[in-house]
Amino acid sequence: MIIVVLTFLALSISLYVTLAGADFGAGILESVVKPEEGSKEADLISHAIAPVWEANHIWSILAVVIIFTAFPAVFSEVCISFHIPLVVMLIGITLRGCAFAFRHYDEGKPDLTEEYTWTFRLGSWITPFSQGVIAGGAMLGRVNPAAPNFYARYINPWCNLFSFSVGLLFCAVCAFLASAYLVGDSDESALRHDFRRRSRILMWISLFVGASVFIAADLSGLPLIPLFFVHPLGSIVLLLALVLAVLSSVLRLSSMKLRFIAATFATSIVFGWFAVLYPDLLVAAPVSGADFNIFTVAAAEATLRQLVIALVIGAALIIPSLGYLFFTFKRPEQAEGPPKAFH
Amino acid sequence: MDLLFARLQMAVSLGFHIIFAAAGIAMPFFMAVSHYRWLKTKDPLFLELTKAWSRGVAIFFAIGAVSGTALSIELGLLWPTFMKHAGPIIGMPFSWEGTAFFIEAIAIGFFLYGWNKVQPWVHWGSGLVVGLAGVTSGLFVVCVNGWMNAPVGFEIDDHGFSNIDPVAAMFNPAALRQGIHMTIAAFQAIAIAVAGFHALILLKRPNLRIHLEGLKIALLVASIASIVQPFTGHLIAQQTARLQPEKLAAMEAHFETSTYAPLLIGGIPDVDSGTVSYGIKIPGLLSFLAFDRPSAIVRGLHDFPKSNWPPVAITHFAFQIMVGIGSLLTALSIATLFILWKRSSIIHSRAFLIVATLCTPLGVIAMEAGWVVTEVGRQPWIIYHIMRTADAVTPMPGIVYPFAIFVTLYLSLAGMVAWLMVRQVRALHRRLEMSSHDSAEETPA
Repeated sequence: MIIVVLTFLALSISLYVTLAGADFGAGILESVVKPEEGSKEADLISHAIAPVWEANHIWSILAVVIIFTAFPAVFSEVCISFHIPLVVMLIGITLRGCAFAFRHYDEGKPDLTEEYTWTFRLGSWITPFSQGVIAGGAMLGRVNPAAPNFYARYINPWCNLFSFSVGLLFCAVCAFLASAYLVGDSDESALRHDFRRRSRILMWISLFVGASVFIAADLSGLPLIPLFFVHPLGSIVLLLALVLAVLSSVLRLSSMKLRFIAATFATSIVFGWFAVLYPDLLVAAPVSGADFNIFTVAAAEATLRQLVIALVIGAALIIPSLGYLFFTFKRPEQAEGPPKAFH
Repeated sequence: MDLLFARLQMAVSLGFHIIFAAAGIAMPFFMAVSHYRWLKTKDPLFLELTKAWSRGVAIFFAIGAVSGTALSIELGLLWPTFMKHAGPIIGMPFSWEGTAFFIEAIAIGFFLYGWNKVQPWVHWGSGLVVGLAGVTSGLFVVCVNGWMNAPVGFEIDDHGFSNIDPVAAMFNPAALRQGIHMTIAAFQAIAIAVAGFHALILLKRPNLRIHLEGLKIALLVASIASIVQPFTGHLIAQQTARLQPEKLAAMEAHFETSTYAPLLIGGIPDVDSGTVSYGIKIPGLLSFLAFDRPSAIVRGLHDFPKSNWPPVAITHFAFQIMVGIGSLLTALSIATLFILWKRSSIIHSRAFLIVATLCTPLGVIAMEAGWVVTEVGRQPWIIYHIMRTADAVTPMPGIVYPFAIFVTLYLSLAGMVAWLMVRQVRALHRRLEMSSHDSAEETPA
C-alpha cells in the first residue's frame, strides 16, 4: 500500500512538473526572449497557458495532501527545516497567479500590463527555483531536527550550492518544456521554427546545468552517481533522460511527439529524484538520529487505504475531464488560432 | 510572541482566502441564472451580465486558488506538530476537497474559455459544475474544521493517535451543521456584496438595466440566505452547547452555571471579576435556545479551569457582531422579498439603493466574525481537549517576519482587487455605450 501511495505521489509531482512546470517555463521564456508586447509570439505564450493554468497547478496541492496524509512526519519536518524557501515559493505562486489573472482580465487606464508582466516573470522564476532548492535540500542530508542553532536548523539544509543548482536545473527544464510544447501551439511555421530552436538550446542548457548538479553534489559530499545506481529504477531513468535529451535535440519530431518526449524527459528526472531518495523521502543528517524511511514513517494502513480510494476515484473523475479540457483547447491544428478568451 | 504571530498569520490567511472561496461558491450560481436567461430569451443584456460577472469571478477565482495553496502549506509552516499527528486523520476530507477543487478548476477553464467552443447548453452546464464543485469542496474542508471541534475516529495514548478511522473522523458530529451554516454564509455574504455593488452603480447610473437585473438576482439569493441562516446558526449553537460548553459560555459571556440562564445582548465581560457590564439580559432565553427548556442548566465559565477558557471578550464581541448583523439582514430580507414579489418600484428608489449599498460589507463581516467565534472560541485547543494550540506551533522563531510579509501581500492584493473591480465596471460602461444594444441602456418607461 505504501508503494502504491508513493507511486501516486511520484505521478502527481510528475504531472505538476510536466504541466505547471511548462507554465513557469512560459514565464521564464518570456523574460528571456522578451517578445514585443502584442506580438504574435507574446500572444501565443500567454494564450497557450490561459485555459489550463488553474488546473495545472492543483497537482501540487494533491502532492502536498498525499505527503501530509501518508507521511506526516516528513511534511512536518520539511515545513520546519525549509520554512524559508517555502515562504519564498508561496510568494512566487501568489504573485504569479494573480499577475497572470490581472494581466488577462484587467482593462482600462493606466495600463498596467508592464507591471503585471514583470511580476508574472519574476514569480515564474522564483517559484520553480525555490521548489528545486527544496527538492535538492531534501536529498542532501543536512536536515537536522536536533540542530543546535538557527543557522543549522533553518538555513543550512537549503542554502547551499547543491540545492541552488537543483533549483536552476528545474528552471531550465521548465523553460525547455514550455518551448517544446509551444511548438505545437503555434500555427505559424516561423514561430514553430523559433520554438524548436529554443527547445534545442534549452535542452543543452538543461544538460549543462544537470552536469553542474552532479559536480555540486560531489563538492558537497553527496555521492549522487552511485546513489542513482543503487536502485535499478535510478539507472533506468538516468539512461532514459539522456537518451530522450539527445533524441529531442537531434531528431526533427512532430510537435506531438516532441511534447511527449519532453514530458517523459521531465518525468524521468522526477522519478530519478525518488530513486535517489528511496527508501527515504527526506534525508536527515546522520548526527540527528532522525529517520524518514517511508516504511517507518508511513501512516496507518486504514489511512493509506482511504487515501488510495480517494486518489483512484479522484483520478477517474479528473483525468477524463482534464483530457477533455486539453482536447478542447490544445488540438495541434487549430483553424482559429490560439484560444482567445472573450474580452 | 511567536505563537501570537502564528495565530495572526493563520487568521489573516484564512480570513483573506475565505472571501475569494465564497465568491467561487456563490457566483457561479448567479451566472448560471443570468446565463440561462440569455439562452432562453436571447436578450443580449443577460449575455453581457454573465460575461461581466465572469470577468470578476475569474480574478477572484485565481486569488482564491493561490491563497488556498498557501493555506495548505501554512498548515505545516505554522502548525507542524498538529499536521504530524492529525495529517493522517484529516487527510481524507482534504483529498476529497482537492478532487472537488480540481473539477472546479477544470470546469472554470471550460466556462471562461469555451464560449464558442462547445455546445451552448454544455457550456452552461460547465458553469453550474463550477458552483457545485465549489460547494462540495467547501463542505469537505469544513469537515476538517468540524473534526478539530469534535475529534472522533481515533484512540490516543502517549505515542499519539492510533486505531485511526478516517471515515468516522470525516463524518464527525460537527461537520454537517458547520458545513450547512458556512455554505449559506458564503451565499449570503457574496450575494449581499454583489447586490450592494450593483446598487451603488445604479445610484450613479440609474438607467443601466444590466445592473438592475444583476441586483435582482443577487437580492433574491441574499434574502433567502439571510432568512434561512438564523435557523442553521441556531442548530450549530445548540450543538455547541452540548459539544463545546466552554465555547458557548464564552460566546455568551456566561460566567455562572445556572438554570433559566439569561441571553445577553451586548455587554462588556470582565474576565477577572467574572462579571458583565452593561448589556441587556433576557431571563431564561439562553437555556431555552440552547436546550429547548428554560429550566435547562447552562454551564458557565467558572465551571471550567481557567487555563481552558477561550478569550472571552473576543469571542463574545465577535458573536454579538455576527448575530446583530444577521438579525438586521433577516429583517431587511423579509422586506426585500416582499418588494421583489410585488415587483414594487421601491427597488428603483434611491432610498432602497442606499440601504442596499450600505449593506454591502455586512455579510462578509458577519461571516468573518462567525469564524472568529468558532476559532477563538475553541482556544486554547487546536484539537478540542486533545491538543493545545501552543503545543502545535512551529519551533521556528521570528514568525513576525513571515507574518508581516503575508499581511502586506494580502492587503496589497485586496486593494488591487477593489481597484480592478472599479476598472472592470468602467470598461463595461464604455463597452455598453459603444454598442448598439439599446435594451441595455434604457429602463422600460
